[in-house]
Amino acid sequence: MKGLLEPSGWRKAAVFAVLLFSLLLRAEAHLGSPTVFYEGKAGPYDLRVVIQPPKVVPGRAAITVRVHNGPATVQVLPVRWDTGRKGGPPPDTAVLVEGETNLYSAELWLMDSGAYSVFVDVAGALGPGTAIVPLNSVATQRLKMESWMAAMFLGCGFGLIVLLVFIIGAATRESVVPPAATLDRAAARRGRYGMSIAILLLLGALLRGRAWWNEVDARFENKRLFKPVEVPARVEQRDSTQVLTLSLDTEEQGWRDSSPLVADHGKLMHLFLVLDPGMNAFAHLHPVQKQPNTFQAVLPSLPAGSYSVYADVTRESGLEQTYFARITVAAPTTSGSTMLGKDDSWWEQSLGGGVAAGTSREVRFANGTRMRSVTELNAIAQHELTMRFEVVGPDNKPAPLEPYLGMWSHAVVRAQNGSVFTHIHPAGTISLTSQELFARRERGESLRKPIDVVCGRPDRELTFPYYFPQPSEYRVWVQIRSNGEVLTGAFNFHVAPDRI
Amino acid sequence: MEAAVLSHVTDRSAGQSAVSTLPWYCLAAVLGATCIPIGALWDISWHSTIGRDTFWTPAHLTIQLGGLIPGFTAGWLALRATYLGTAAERGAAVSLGPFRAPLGAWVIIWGTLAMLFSAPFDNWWHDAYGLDVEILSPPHTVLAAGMYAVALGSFLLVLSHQNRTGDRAGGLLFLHAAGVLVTMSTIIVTEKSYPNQQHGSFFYQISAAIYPLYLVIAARASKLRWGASGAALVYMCLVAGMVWILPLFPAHPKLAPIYNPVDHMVPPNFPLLLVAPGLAIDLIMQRFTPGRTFWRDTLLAILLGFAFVGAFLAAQYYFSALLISPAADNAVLAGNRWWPYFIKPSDFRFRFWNPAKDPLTIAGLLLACALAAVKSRIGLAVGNWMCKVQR
Repeated sequence: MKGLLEPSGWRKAAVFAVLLFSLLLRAEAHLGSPTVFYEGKAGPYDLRVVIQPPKVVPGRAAITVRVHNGPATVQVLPVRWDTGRKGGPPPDTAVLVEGETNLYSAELWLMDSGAYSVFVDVAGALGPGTAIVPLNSVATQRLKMESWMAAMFLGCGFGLIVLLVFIIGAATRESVVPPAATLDRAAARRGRYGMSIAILLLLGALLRGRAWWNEVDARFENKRLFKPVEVPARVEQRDSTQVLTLSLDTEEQGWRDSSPLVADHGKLMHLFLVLDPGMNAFAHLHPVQKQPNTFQAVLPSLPAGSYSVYADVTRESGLEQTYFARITVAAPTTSGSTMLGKDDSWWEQSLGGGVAAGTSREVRFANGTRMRSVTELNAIAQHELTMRFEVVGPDNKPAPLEPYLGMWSHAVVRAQNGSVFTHIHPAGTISLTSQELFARRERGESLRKPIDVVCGRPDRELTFPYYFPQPSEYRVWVQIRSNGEVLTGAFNFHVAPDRI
Repeated sequence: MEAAVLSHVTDRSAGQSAVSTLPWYCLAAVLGATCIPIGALWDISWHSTIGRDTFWTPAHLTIQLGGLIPGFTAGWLALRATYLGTAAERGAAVSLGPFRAPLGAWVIIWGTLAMLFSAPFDNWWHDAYGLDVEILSPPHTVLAAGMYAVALGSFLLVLSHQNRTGDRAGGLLFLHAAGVLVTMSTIIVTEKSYPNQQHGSFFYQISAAIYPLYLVIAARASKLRWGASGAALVYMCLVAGMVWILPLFPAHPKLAPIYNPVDHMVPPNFPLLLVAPGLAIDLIMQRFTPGRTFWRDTLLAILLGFAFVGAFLAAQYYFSALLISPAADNAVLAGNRWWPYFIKPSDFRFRFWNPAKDPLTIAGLLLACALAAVKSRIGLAVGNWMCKVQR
């Protein structure tokens, strides 16, 4: 862990990561992190909903619902964005997980690609309540056949073909010979001819089958697989500032949602920049839409280097999408910061209070405020956890928090190898804007009214439900606003593989 | 059973008219194979009505039964002919290495193995490309080939029995087996044969490329006079039975989005009126059967090709117009009642699709006639061979 923080360690790892990046990256709303978390209310009930989406669509998702103030009856219903609940079947009743008192599980059938939401209906002693949990229903995996399975299929297929050739040989050789008669040379010759023709025909059929399979695979990859969308981006020097221009008008060959973009936390796009290698600089910006598919942002004071750029957008359908780009900042930017919006924020390791790692779980900001991870900075991959942080002012009392972009806190998670990037909130991985869109559609309300959703104020700790999808070194940036200033704390998490 | 198995091999006259001589294995194989198209139609209805399925749905179990009953029957026949049979029984079998069995039994065994193999393949396909995105996929094709082989093997089993004994019951069972094959072939092209597509050339071309083969084989290889129309009638009865029985069962969709909230099992389309071209084929072949020379059969095939398309067009063109009209919206014709839950109701249901892209033209029909003639010629050749099958 310590070595990771040394520049050389970072560099080696990051070079390897960058090479692997395009192979590992999966573009979803959250890159490489498909599990959906929702921590919130369903009427009077406090829930944690976890959804494991299928890797291909149509497919089955697994959902678990923990009713913190349960027990209760839980019903779940996946709903496609354009048909709503009225276009859905009756909900399925989730069953109590064995050994649990308030955890329920069910299976969700997702039959189409696009924006979905799961309606979670809870009924119990406190009355009824419903939570809406948005999720992207998209194919994210191109499954490779394992070698043992390929060998088994090849063996069985070969056996079937050989058997068929022999049956055809027997048919042409013997079938028309009267039962009492013996086989002559002509019969044997017929059999050989029959088998030869069968072999040719079956070879032709096999070649056609192979071509067909390839066509299906290509169609899946080009039309249905939700692939990483790398978009063009460039940095231009304009007077004393550097301006980043990002174009979403790409030649996407794959599946796409063409519904218009909507503002999430009042912004059409949330743009995150991470310096590679090392992740020692980070920015959270909000570009301005210059043309329908072109966005521009003034860069703040950032060191020169190569940056990974992640652009989060939400569409009117409720689909969340992250575009990816790579830019190079040739020289350190110095004076753009004064032209940034009040919600834009950035962080640099040497200036931002350092990075908490290992047993040192605290970062201290210039104004004396401290941010501390209550959770240990070690985790197990694919194990549900709640990351907990507390923010203490110089007076050792909880720092006064103000909403930042409609939330009391934000966390941005990125794996060192670049395979995971996600932006989460105390409500989980879902977009509250997307949730509100689904709710409005269900109520028959306009989608064009401004959406202003704010999470509940935290008691003392900032909590983020999450699930690190794979073993790696992760950096988590936690952002809050206190006394009008956006504070960004950086934490390194060591995520080990699940050995069980 | 022992007396029934192959007693007809040397005593042809003994079984010529007695229904009781029909061997159990022929009945088991053919009736078992009948489960396959019934299960397939039920499965399509299941997907159109309920949506969700598992390996254990009744429709899937019916299909599996259709593989297993003939499969076990054929396996027993192979064991018996190889190890337990008399010299006569072994003589009425074909050999595959050291093993012996009637030809039909071997084809059934292959079909059952292919059906079994398709299950893990299909499971992997679902994981890789999604749950049944298309009816026609490579693993479904392997399954279809297996199902088809089971039906074909049953057909061959009863064919050799018919040829050896010439009894009427065997002849009727042969026509039933031929009807099962016709039904399966219609299911494969379900998506190309909706009533709304039947005013376009493509429907007649694809029909001509498929059905004359079966109808001509049935006509030529059957010992009965009305082989083609009999096989077509069996197909129509099987499908019409499903059209009338399935909607008797209430059911609701369990998948979103539901555009068409059905409340009963959705029936298949009313069967094609294949009995019309079947009758035409039978009448022509009754007139031209004697003297099976190559060129005579070739000329006959050309005539059969034109007859098939002419009779089929005459029947189906007007019948399809009835089927898409409100007049067919009743329990008998199920004209507007076969739409799955996921299809949006619109006037799309009541009109012919793509008249501009796929018009019914003379050139299109001539191509259909040519296809039908080729398939008729193949059917005659296969039928000639089938007339001689003894094992």
